[in-house]
Amino acid sequence: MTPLERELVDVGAHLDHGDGRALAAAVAGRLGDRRPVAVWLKAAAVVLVALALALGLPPTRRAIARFFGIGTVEIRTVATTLAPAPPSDSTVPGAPETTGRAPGPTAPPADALAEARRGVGFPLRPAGPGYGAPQRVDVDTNVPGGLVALVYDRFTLVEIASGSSDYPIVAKLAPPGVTTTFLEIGGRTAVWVEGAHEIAYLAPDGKVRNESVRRSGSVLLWVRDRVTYRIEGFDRREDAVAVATSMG
Amino acid sequence: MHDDELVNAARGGDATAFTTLVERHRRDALRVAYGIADGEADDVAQDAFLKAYRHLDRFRPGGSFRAWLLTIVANEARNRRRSFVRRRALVLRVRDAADEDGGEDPAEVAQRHARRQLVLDAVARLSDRDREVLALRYFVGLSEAEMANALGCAAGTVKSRLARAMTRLRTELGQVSP
Repeated sequence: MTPLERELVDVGAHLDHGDGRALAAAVAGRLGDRRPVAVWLKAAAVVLVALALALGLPPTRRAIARFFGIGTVEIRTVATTLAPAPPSDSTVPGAPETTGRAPGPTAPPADALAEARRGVGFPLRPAGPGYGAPQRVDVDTNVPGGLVALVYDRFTLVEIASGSSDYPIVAKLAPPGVTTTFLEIGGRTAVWVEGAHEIAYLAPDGKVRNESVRRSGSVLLWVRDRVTYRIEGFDRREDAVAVATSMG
Repeated sequence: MHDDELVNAARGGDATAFTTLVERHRRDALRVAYGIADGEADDVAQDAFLKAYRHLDRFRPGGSFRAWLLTIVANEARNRRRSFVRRRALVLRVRDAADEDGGEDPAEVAQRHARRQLVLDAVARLSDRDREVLALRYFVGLSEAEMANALGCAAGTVKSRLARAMTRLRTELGQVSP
């Protein structure tokens, strides 16, 4: 081997690609599309619990997170909904202690966007030019890596850094009647959650932070470059997908 | 248990066996996926594992499952890049030096980190095809024979593709080819 070849081997051993600990569970959760249900379901459940135990994580959380999760968001099926906190004017779901809020109407949205860009550790992707500029930009730096809510006229686009954390930080609590559909946008898996449900922040142990629960309508979720995106405010899936597609 | 035995079990519908294979090869899969498609690596690896599972019947027992799988990963990563409407520049990073190297002269550690990043930046500027062969050969250490077998081409083709990729890498680094 030449010196440069040896360097490439060394570089390969130091790539910053994350540890992919959740990969096996994520794959196990998707094998069911391809093989007999009874076999894979049992096996996948066993593997998930084993993985959770190996990692010292609460089994239920791990299993739920990777079976029905996307990015930093997990989707939990619940029998009944919890009592939501009183309505808040915060557009950052369940974030009572919003910090670093960009200035209100007096600040041009371009400035607010630029300020938000400086405040988070990932590149912001606003909706396409056809949707105009956001009316308001909220930043929550309590979330590791940052969370930004871009409030448009008809919808809200929330961007959450996945950061170094493998674990979900937001839960959607879906009572019976709420449907989740997997679809593909630009080659990426997305989830459309249709129907009224609740959304909340999760504590580090995976428990729902009750004070953060609030109501949410239908929502579109997807992940790109370690950022979880969420569009709320549309009843029709096509409208949400159009915004997502406009983001390039 | 050997890969071949796990593949046989997975073919019979044993998802646990396949998940064991995923666990065993996930790091290599991520290395290849990351080297070709940076931040998409997790999604790429996931989709590639599912493709491999679906097409397990095409894997020839006795061959290297690892090489077969990693070629699927590379292919998936290149397809992912092709599916982008606008081709964007790749952003590849090496892990923070502080994560790895303990008890050494910080200046040396920093220097080594900078050099790794410099080489990786040059790799990032190469074409997807060049990065594919470099990732398979050097990031995960497949032999030229394994690559030829898995890519379905002659050993000579792999050799010349690697040589051309190395020449272009040297050019990017401002080195004169030997």
